[in-house]
Amino acid sequence: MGLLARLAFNPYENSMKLISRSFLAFTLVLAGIAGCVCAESKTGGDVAQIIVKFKDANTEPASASLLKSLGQTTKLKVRHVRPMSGGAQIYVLSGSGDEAQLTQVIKQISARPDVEYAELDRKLKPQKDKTNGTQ
Amino acid sequence: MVPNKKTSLGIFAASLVAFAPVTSSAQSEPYRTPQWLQASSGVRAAQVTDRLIVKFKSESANALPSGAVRAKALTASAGKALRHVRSMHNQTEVMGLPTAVSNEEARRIAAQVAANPNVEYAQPDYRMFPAATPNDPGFSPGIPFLGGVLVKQWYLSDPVGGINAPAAWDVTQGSSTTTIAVIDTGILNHIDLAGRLVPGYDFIGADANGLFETANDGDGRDSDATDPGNWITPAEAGRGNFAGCPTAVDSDWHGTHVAGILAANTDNGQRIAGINWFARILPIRALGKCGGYTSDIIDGMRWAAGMAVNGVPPNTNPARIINLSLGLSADSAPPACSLSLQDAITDVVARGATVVVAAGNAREDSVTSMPANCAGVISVAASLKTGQFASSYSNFGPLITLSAPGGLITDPADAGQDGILSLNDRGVTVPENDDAVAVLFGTSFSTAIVSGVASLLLDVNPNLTPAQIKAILQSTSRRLSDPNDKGLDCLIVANRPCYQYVVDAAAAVDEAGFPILSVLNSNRNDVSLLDFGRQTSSGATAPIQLIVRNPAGVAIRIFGIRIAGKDQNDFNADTTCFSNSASGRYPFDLGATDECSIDVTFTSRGNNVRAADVVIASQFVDIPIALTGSGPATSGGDGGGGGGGGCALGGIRRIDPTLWLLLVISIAYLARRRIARG
Repeated sequence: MGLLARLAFNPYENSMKLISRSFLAFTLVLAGIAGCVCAESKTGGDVAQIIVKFKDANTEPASASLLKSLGQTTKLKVRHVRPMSGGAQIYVLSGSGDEAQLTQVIKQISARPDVEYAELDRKLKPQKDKTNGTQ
Repeated sequence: MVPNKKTSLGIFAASLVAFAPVTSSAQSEPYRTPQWLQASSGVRAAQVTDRLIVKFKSESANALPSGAVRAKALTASAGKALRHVRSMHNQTEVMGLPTAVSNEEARRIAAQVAANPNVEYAQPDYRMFPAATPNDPGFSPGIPFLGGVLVKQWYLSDPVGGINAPAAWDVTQGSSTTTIAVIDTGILNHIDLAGRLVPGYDFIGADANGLFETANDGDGRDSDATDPGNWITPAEAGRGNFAGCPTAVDSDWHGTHVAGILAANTDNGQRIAGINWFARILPIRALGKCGGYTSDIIDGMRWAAGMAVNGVPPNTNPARIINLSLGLSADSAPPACSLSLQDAITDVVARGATVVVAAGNAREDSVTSMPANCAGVISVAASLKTGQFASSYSNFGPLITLSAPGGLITDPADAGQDGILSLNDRGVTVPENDDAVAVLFGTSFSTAIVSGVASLLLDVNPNLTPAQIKAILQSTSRRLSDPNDKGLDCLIVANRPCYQYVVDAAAAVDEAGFPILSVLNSNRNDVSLLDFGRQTSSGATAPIQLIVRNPAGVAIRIFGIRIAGKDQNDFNADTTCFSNSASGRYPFDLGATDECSIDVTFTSRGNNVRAADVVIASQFVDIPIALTGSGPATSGGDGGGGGGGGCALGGIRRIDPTLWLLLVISIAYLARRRIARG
């Protein structure tokens, strides 16, 4: 499979621009991709951004009482970032732990009676594969 | 408002025949006069010809009585043997040269011929092409890349792997009234996009840790959608906000690449041709370094469609097409579409925006790839220059709407000839703003191609809904392995491999010219159960006859009829809905008061209960079917259109000659399909 297989399995990460670069460089970059383990969920360090929609559109998303309540649900520090279009809210969780712990935390928020849904604010990527140069 | 039949027929003629300009409907004016009916001012000459036009003096008629003699008489003047092709009018002849020569050379030869005493004048017989063949070098002959290899936009015109764009451009080259939103990495001020951009917005805010590392422009949301680059250094790779990006990468100028495919300045003699020659691009920056947050993409989508977003000034150029060449693979994505993203898609579709998304490049079923697994989108897989599915990287599966060229680069030594050429930049980190072009590949670009075609459909008929656009794209797509097989089944049968069908711009644009009268909000408009009872020893049952009647009062389009049972091979179906019995050809048009019949018979022996469903997909949600005839009992059936009309019909009745023309043309290029086939 070689080169083709690596391209196929790891299409998101490889990026190179071959204006005058060698085939060796191409291969090295792709080889680097082959080990990609994509942990998209975490946004950096031990901090995660989540989307929460409350059943009641009049919920005060940044009120001290709500933030305290969410903190009790998650056992984490919760910060309100901003409202989204469509009525959902963005929060940042600090000390959210690894992927499995974060999934559990989101389940706990989703289970609250005042919450319509909660989910990770995942990062999406361009669906390009890689270039063979610029002219 | 529903056009009357007369209007509908006028539209048919406009979309298929070039003999008359179109008069618009009184109610609204959704159908434009095709560009090629308007003027010929854009006609250009090709660069070579193998013919001359020579007019002889009238007094030479006796001495040179025939074309062959005249050709011979000019040989000395021309310096080469001429061949008489045909006589035109009034002593004028078409003369063939031994080989094609440049126009310049042809002019030189013509000047020599004109000096012959028998000749009144001579000129090259320039080869003219429709204005729809643009002069951008990326379109043809190509742009030199590594080693001087010419790389061209094969995806537009290659007869095997291309989308048939030039034939679509003969009908429409797009319109500046159409806005396409590109939610992506932002945009560069590229020369081949000059004049095409409307004010966009940068939706990328701070990262969860308060830094602007994803944004990479030092600040949060603002009105500057310029792409600052999305490179990742080795030190950044896999760390902090870039945990999901373990590899160092250069900037790719992805948003500019996508925008170029959609709507680069065309026929301007430089860089590339866009699919839509005139559309406006609304650049929305939501992807930064290591991608972009779902929440920013969501806000960008609603803003693109003209909806309010907290803290962002209103968008005065709402988009009818929203291009999302982005996604998340199963490695880390949830199996279902994000709920908040689905909400946004539903909202913008309800406002008339068509959302086109990438199927993803993970070579997996797109059911686990977001947003390709969201409802209401057009999800696009990738095909190759060779006309094959891009099985080495493209996602696949039953949720995919169709394919479009995504290209492939397997070896830098091939100079990217099989990839997707578009606008780019040489900058490895920050932009050099050097108006470069580059070659990339992936479902990102398949997505852009379909968005571009969708925008052309809106120029033919601005009233098309997202569901209608999807139906038109699918029903006119062609199977990668068999160009004569159209993707009509995708409209009426669940779980079809529609990713094996590639978009056909010309066929889709033609289809958009037909009147679409109501929302196609269901792929399965009517299901009726045929119950033939139990097997008897005699084998074939008496037929049950279905009458398909048009309740609309105007001609309508039927996308397909399917008889679905336990074993498709057990059926035989004869129909008057098509020109030859027992063959189903779709789509077909049913006139305002027409009806046709389908006689369904069981042919095999066995003890099974013989039952079948009948599915009719049309522009209407509720085509009434009346089941009548001498066969066994039926159940279900009448969808509200009244009874009977039971006898077998000799053919489609009361068909206007124009409709016959339409039918014949449809048969010529649409898929042949047996009505009882699985």
